[in-house]
Amino acid sequence: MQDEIKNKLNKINDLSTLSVVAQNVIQLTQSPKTSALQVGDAISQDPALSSKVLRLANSTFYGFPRKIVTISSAIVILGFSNIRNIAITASIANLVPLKKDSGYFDRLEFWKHSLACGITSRLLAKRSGMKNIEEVFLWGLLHDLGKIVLDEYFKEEFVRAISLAKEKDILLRDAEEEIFGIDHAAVGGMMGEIWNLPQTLLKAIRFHHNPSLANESMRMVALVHLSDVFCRAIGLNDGGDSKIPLINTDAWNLFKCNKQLIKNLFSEMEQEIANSTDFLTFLE
Amino acid sequence: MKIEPIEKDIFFLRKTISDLTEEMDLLRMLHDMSKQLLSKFELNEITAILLNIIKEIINYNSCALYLYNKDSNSYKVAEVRGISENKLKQYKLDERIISWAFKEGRWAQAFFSEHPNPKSDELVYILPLQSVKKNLGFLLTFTDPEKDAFTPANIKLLAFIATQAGTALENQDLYSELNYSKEYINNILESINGGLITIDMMDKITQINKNATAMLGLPSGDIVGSRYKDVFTDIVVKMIDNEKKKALKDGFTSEVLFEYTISENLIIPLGINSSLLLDGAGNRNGIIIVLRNMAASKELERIRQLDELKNEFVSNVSHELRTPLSIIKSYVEVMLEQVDPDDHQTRKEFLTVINTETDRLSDLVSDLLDISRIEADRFDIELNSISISDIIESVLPKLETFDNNHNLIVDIPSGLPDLLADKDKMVQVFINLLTNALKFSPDGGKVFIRAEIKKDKLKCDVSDQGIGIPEKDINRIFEKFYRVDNSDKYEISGTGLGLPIVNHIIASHGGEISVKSHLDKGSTFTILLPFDRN
Repeated sequence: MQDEIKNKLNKINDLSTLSVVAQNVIQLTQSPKTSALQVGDAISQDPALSSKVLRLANSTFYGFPRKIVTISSAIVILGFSNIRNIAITASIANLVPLKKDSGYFDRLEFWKHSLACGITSRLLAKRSGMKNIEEVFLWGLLHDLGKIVLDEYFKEEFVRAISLAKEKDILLRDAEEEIFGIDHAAVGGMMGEIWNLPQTLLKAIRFHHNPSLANESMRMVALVHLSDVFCRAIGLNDGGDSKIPLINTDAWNLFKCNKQLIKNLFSEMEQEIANSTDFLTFLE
Repeated sequence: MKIEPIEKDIFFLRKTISDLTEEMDLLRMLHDMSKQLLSKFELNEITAILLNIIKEIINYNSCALYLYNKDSNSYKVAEVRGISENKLKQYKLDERIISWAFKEGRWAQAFFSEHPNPKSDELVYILPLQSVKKNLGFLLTFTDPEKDAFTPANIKLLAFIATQAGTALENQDLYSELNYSKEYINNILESINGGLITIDMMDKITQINKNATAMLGLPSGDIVGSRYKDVFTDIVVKMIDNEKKKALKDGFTSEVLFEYTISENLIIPLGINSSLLLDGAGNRNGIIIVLRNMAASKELERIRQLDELKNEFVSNVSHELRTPLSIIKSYVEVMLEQVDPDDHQTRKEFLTVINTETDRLSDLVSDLLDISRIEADRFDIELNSISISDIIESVLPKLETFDNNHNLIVDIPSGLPDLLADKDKMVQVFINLLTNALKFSPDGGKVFIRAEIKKDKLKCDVSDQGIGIPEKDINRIFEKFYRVDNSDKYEISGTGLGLPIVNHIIASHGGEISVKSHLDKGSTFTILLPFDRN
């Protein structure tokens, strides 16, 4: 099954891939010498992406106090990392549109969970003094990429996996293992590799269930893992299942978690998540 | 084993090398910049360096640095480049953008509330300067859009510079605060009405206030950092050694008195105590030594003792006056009422007693007068050439009235040189000394008076085989009003005026008097007097 999936994913890539503009933006934002004007020019090639960028730049999620009217202003205000995040996410959302609702897997719920995870990852990163919080946000936002890929391209089997998980009262990823032989983390990793997503993001996708396997990237993956569990704990599950997995103790210890911290974090999470629902408007 | 290169693509390898070189240059540059920024503790130096570095990175047309001002609780322009402060005031920066930039903690585009932009063709960026805990200020830069300053590399650089500048500014703030509190504590230390010295565990002086340098008579207080053994006199070193030893053992010392000779004629009594200094973790990190000038409290003590002596004196004198008066009174009464006017024998006996007591009274009164003259510094002496034999000859008849129970042995060789002395006063000296000797000797005891030449002076001893003087009192018997408290053993009267007067007379003749005594064996008073040089 594993090879079968890989073959199929490769074929998918021939048909639907991240937009050229998105790929350009990813590449441009990774080069240190790129200027805001260059990135602005690249985004302007895609009017749909341009309007999404402007809409997001003016969303309460970023909370800039003035109206942003030009792409280059948006780039300066949001920064390259945020612009890259928007390009990647908008491009992926284009490939897996919201409207296809299987009745089993609610894509809007999925994105809500993803956004909450991104926000929580960013909060945790801020608390532990990490600098690249925009990148951290993207890890949280796209860690479950595999689920939406399964839902889009392996619908029948994925629905079976969801039913199985409910029936046996097991974690969705265990049900996926039974049906596909691999879980959504591995599938997301494969897809991300084909799409040329940044390496750090791929690690977050692959190891978010078990950060201890991520070796030198343990810290960043642990961040996503904790955020995933915390979001489920406050009821923001992903539409597929609502079971709360066990917390990896290495991750817990790495971020020196304790009851008080969790309590404070939960109230911060709820506030920030409530303030950022308009982030999801770019999915429309 | 065959070694295969991981990557063979020459273009990839070239690019990697060039990327790495660039990264290294960047790191080197960051290192230099942070070194420059963090090496300064003066605000204007830090801001100047900061603006120079930013200029190098983004080549702004003009820029302005705003720093938080505690007093006005607002951001004030600290430095400008390429734009005047007045011009800057015309633009009203949207404050919400400042808050947003602080919240996001990164470089952002700035907007103004009144004008869209100061110059429509300039981009204005805002760079927040923050430390971990607070917002310190922000930098506004005005750049040409075509210069394309906003790149990921510049963002990285500026974020780094902002952090370093924030740290430098906070260091500067802490540094000036530290200076302020140091000054404040120094003020307190200098204002303390006592001397204060602290030393560390390596015996180095870490603090010394002006009072301490004054009390120890040091030429300057510029000895902080020196080892106390190298800068203090031996006596002070010994004293600190002692204090240190005790403080290390017990944690503190109780005050001890210490007579410190600052200069030949300045001795001050110092109270000294010390405590162990501990740091926050309870480790010993030095010793604090507190010096107190005890002159004031010593003076009080002296006055108190003087007062006590005077009270005692008044009661002694009253007693001494009353005794002869009662005797005279009772003898006169008996004579008037009971003695037969023709009983000449008895009347003569009675009159002799009255005469003796009257002499005693008169002696007492003249002693009192002498003392008050000495006190008032009006005790005049009249010097004439006179021999010691003459003096003693005048003394002996006056002692005859005393008693005949003692042996008075006079050993004065003939031909001794003359003295230059006041005869009456010298007679008074010897009457006093001999009267004391007889008074304190048991019946049948011998009293000697000897004279000899000792170097260029006349040495004259008056010794007895009497009760002696206790050691604790021997240094005080020449003090005014002081009496050896022996009332429990002997009923011997006196006012305590004799020896002080003797002492004064001898001293005003340029002589010396001393005493040696053994309890129950006797005392010897030795007088040294200069001869008449002529």
